[in-house]
Amino acid sequence: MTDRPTPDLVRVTTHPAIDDDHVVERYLTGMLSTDEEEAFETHSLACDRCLDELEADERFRSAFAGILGHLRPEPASATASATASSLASEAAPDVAATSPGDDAAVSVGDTAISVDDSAPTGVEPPQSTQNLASPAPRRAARDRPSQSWALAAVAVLAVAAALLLQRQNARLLERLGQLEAPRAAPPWVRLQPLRSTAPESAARLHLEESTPWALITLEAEPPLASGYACRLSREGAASTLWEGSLAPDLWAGLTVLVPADDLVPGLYALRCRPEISASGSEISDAETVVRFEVVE
Amino acid sequence: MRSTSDPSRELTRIARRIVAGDSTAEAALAERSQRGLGYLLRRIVGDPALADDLVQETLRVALEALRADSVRDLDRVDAYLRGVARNLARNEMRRRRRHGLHEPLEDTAPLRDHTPDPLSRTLAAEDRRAVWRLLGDLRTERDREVLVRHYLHGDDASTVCAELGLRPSAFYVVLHRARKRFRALIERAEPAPAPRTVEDAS
Repeated sequence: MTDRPTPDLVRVTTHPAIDDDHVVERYLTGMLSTDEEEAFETHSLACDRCLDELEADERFRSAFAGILGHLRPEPASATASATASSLASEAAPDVAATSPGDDAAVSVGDTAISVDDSAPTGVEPPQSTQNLASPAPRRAARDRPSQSWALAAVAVLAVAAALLLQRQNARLLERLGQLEAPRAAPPWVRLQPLRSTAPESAARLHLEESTPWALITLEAEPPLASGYACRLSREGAASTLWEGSLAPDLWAGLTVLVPADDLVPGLYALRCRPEISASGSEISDAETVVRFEVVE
Repeated sequence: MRSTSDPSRELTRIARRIVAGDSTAEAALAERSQRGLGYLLRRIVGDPALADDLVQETLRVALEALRADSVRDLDRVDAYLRGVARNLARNEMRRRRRHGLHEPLEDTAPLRDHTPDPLSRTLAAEDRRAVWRLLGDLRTERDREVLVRHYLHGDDASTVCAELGLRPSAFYVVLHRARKRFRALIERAEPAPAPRTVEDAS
């Protein structure tokens, strides 16, 4: 006798009921009963359709976490955080400070800021703030009695942090808009192979704070190959910024579009090695290295 | 390989072939189940490398049991695989807690390179860009707040629904639409591992 799912579990193990009843979402948010969860996990073990959804959620979640990591400032003695709604908030902050215990928390409009009491007295305001960050610690703050001289210092910090947050939020909003909007004359550095490797011979790329992308083009030398293995890295840094294959365009250009955030000021090298001959003849294994400097 | 047939029945057919001594079916079992086992185990243990090891261990245990014809109900071999995977994961987590371990016990365990390879880094960057674009595309602030609170803050469904005054079905629709849009964005970006070129940008 087979032990197939009972009728009430059929809806979590068959399509299109899975889609109609939002079973994937309910599974991912822990809203299935134990029996339903077991039945769905068993079904999805070899169901490509469900696995596509589940793995997409996994990547989505990971990408969100990656964004947070991207925005997270270096550990500082004070940190600030904002909810997503504060992204759009331009309202003047209404500051409500509550008291410290091990730490203190302040809510500024939709923004919550926590300050570590154990930090040295000369606590610096956050150098950089983050959006889309951790949940607001308001509840903990409400639970603690208001006291302590540190409250005044916290309130001052809160105002400073709120102003920083607003500025940061405005920049992020602007950047969000730039991702989709057409942009004329984007930052572009066109590189030609140079014999000298001295930093002073490197091309310079000016990046403004509001610039979302930068174009980097290397003019490949004849004889042209149809494909090049290229690597973009920051000189003196261990990690590679980007690595992949490029095909030359009609003007023999090998072009990479790089997020400006990834280009901190410094000296960079683009290394390209021919990997596929256009004519089928033997190709040179000589690597072309060009350098450019990113300046603010 | 993608299959449109009933995945449970397909696994059962493969299992019966293994029991009957068809050794070629063993590779088919691995092919049909390791993706799902990998997802399930990553969800349980959180560590992709450990999940990979547990997938292999699950398949080893299952194949030995099938060869010995000791799986009680071949019609539910998918449930059997799930059970083995969950048990192995639970045992491993318990063992790690007991020993305060974050890495495998075995001295002979090969050193792993935890640095993401260039392709993974590029894909991860592409995924981040897709999320940015998606957040920018959302029609309402409420949808953005739902995603951020759920995916970033880790707020559960009931909390988000209660605080935003949403019905659960509306909450699920937001998640579903966002994931669909995200998939469309990353599928458009793949398989090219490179950042967008001039042609794409223009």
